[in-house]
Amino acid sequence: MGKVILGLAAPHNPNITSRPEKMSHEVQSKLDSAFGYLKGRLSEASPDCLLVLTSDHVTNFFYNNAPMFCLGVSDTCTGPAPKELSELRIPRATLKVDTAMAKGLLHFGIESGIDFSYSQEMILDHAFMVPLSLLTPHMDLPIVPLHINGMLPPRPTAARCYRLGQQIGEYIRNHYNGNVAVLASGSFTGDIGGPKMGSIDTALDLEFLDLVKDAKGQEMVNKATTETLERAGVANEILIWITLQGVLGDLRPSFTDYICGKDWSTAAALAAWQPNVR
Amino acid sequence: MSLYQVDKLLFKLFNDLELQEKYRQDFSDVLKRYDLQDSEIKALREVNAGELYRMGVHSFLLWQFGRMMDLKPATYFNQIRGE
Repeated sequence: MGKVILGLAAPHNPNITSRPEKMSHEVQSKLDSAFGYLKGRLSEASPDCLLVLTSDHVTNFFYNNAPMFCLGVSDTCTGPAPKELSELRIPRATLKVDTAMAKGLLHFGIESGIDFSYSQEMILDHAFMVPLSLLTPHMDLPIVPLHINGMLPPRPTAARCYRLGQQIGEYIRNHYNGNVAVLASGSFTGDIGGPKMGSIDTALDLEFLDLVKDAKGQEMVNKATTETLERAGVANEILIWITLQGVLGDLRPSFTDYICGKDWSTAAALAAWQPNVR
Repeated sequence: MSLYQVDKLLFKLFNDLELQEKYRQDFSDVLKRYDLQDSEIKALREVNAGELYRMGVHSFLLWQFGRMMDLKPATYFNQIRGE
């Protein structure tokens, strides 16, 4: 039976790859170090598959069709999106999808109450590609992309996302044959294009990071009310972190970091969980 | 208000580089394809982020539209914050 052998969480602020020269030396150094640590753990764990949780950034989905949860189930997925190529400085890459897991999780979900949407044409926008380019730069690790709607309200509830994570864990442990790493891509707060953009809500970021450090999944759920998500901004990814905590249960992270660059629109929160190193 | 049509236009512009180019060359021709109110057309033509924001346009898409139209970030924020 399968195992979750690693959890990772990392930001996808496009400035990380598109404008590194704009960062201070200190921020650049901290980010390099934190991403380097996560990359090292991923390489060391050598999973069969990397499940990537994030929210599509209005690339695949819009108000004409806005799924809450969508699995990429095609044999391969490509990114970044053409619109982002000139800025991101990430070469366009086609990644193999672990379709046994993607389709297995889809069917398991449907049978156990997660009405997943699925796509044969999911484009990997920067929310996927920024952390992937830094954690697996050869892009040779099979992935399963899972979109969790964070940008097109109404969003799924935090309780639903936590339960989703628990069900993903159940699927991996009981129905998948292989070792899985799970990556949550996103920051806690971010109001991209909204009136709060440019003033990072450090207090809210750190409240959630403290709950992450203590593996307080249920408290994260309780805190992530509609009002809190509104405060966290249009591009907050609190639900992505909560889903990952659902996968990991009461496991505390072995590593966390919080890096805040001047003039950034979101701060960078990073974490790693190592289930086999309790 | 045909707000959905404004969001739809901005979504299409955000994701279609050829449409972006057409819009820059002749936005009137592109705007005709959408069922827009006069007030929406005016705000789009003027790149009036404040007006569009107060209409309820999705802020992430609005930010991308502002970038596409070379609206300076300081101007964008002054407009949407009503400063």
